[in-house]
Amino acid sequence: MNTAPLASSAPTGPSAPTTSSAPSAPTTYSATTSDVPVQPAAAPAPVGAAQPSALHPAPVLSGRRLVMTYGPQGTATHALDGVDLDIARADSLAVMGPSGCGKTTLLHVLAGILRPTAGTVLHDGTDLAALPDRTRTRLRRSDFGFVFQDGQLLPELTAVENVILPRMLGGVSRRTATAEARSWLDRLGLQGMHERRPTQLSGGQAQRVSIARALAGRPSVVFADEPTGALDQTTGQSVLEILVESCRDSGASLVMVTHDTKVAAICRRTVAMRDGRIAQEFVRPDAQNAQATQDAAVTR
Amino acid sequence: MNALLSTAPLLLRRRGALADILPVIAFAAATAITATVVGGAAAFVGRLPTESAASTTGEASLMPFLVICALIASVLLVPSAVGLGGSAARLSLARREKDLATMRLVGGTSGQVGSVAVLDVTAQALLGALLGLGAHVAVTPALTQLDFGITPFTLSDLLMPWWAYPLLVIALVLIAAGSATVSLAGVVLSPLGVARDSRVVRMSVLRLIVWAAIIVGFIIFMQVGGMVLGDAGGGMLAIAIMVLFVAAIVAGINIVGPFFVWITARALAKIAPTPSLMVGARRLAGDPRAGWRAVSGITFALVIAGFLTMMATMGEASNPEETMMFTAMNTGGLLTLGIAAVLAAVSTGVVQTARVIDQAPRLRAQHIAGAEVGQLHWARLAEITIPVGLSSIIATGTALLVLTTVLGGAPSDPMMAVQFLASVLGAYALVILAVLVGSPLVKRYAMRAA
Repeated sequence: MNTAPLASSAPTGPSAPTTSSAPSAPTTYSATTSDVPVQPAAAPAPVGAAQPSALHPAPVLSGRRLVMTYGPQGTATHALDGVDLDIARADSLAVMGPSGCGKTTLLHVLAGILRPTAGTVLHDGTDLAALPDRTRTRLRRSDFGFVFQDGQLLPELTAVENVILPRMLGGVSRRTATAEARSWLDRLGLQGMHERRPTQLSGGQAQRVSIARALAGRPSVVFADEPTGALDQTTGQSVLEILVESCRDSGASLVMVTHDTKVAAICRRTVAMRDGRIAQEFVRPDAQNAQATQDAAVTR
Repeated sequence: MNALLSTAPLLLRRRGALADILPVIAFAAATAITATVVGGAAAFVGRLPTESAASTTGEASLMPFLVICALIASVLLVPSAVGLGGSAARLSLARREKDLATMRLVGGTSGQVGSVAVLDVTAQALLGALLGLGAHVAVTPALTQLDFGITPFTLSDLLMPWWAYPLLVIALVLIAAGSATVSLAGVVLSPLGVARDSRVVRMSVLRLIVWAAIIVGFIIFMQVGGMVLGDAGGGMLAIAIMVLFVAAIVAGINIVGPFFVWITARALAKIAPTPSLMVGARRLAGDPRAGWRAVSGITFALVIAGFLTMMATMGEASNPEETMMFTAMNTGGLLTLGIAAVLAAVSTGVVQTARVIDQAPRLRAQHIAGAEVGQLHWARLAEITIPVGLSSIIATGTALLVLTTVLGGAPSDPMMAVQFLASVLGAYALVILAVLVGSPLVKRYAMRAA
């Protein structure tokens, strides 16, 4: 499904060049949780009401007039109430808002986990909302990656087995998937920990395994739901940095749900939701130029 | 304590019909099977001829042997049934861990919370035991139709004496309470959760060495034992030692079984070409005892049923008494296997379904990440298929080894062997079907809206 050059199924692993004009060399992280935290970005500048970003003409994912209603008529709750949102390729987007504002529902609808009550979700020209569950499941496996709050690693599997699992589910041979997975784990600072169980890893290390699992399939979009919610601030910041940079290096877009402004600040764009609608959108001023440069460099 | 007891019902909230009923089903099955097996064994004992009537008929002369067979089957099945009761208690307790932690958080001491937990298990055991007695009474009339080659049993033969029923209920409830208490001793009830040992499981090769040594000792004894012991005790000493060896080999299956599961599962997990096999094998390697427990009862039954069925195939009946004996052994063997299969199926169904309920968030996460529902089913099937396969190999191999060593021959009637193998496959199919009972739940949890 992914038509980007980065979506090659060859077992290149993350250390291979992502494109001939990759914006930055792949970064390797230390195994400790004391990575230098990025400084919180300057306060994002509001750019007005929520409009799809005009920076990226060919979005990888587009939500149009998304409505999601729970419950019977009369007592129905509108989790989404006419949301329009574009996700640009290789962009990073934070979805913020108070509990119950619809941010997790929006993530689930964009990822094809939930069918919206109304509206369309276009991914490479295909409306996810019109696909049957089995097709959406396969598409999530091949084109999307997921990082959950608590990792959701299978405790019985080793770190490397957790990473290869979705790849094997997608039909990739164990040998190929293992080579890719080891490469990703090494890159994320987990050398020597490939055969450890999740219970033998720290929270930050386990979340790095989740990131490796999400990115091993070369997804076009990574969805993260409160990925640092279960981590302390220092470890969380380190994991966030890894997540954003890994997505950027591999050309994947990042959609991250969070209620933490410091977490959201690491993304280039932020949309703030309220009552099922996008109330505001922000773009990090210091990120705009860098992102525009990167967009120009990524060949699609 | 009174205050805590009065708030316990609020805190030990119900989780929904199926989750609450699973331990009750297990207690009911344990009670029904125990009552049926004990009732059946008592029926055989009741047919033992009196002194004056001894050996006047073929049936009377055969009864002492059949009583021994019935007692062996009971000794085999009752511990497994009671073990199911213990498993149900642990299951009930495990499913309450969050509630117990909450009770600690709101001020209950470890002792108070532990007492409430044991009482909760006891109540479920009592309800299950009463339901199990009902099932026993309902099923027993059908058992009067079984052909043991002797005068058919009546309903009153197969029911236990009335006073045995309250004793059985009390015994099972006490066992459940005891199991719960022992399980609680292995965990730390803290306000922040229930901590338990989560070390990576390792199994010692000593298990295999001990079992192999018993087998080698048995074979050597069968070769030279007769010569060494001669006619000591009229030959009874040699027979007694032989029986002890056989009992040790059969009992040793439970020691070596988890080791075989562990070693096989680890090897399969490392090379599994499919994700389902990899996940299933890893789960088994993480808890090989639980994997073996699902099939241990059926393995024992298979060994005994194998003895009885194969012995019945080893010669032609030359008189009515032998015909009677072969019929009784064949029916008894298959009945033992059937009951063991039901026991194993209930145990597997309850444990696996409970595991699905407990893993609901993880199933959902796997489906979100691209695992199709069918792939989730295959992983669960792989988890039970590995011990089932090992169990069939170990049981058939053990039965054949012992029989060929003792009797110096192999089964001669291929039709009986085919019938036995068909029964084996049927028994294992029942166990695998029990795994599938939880399949609708897997689909529901995987596709549940967040």
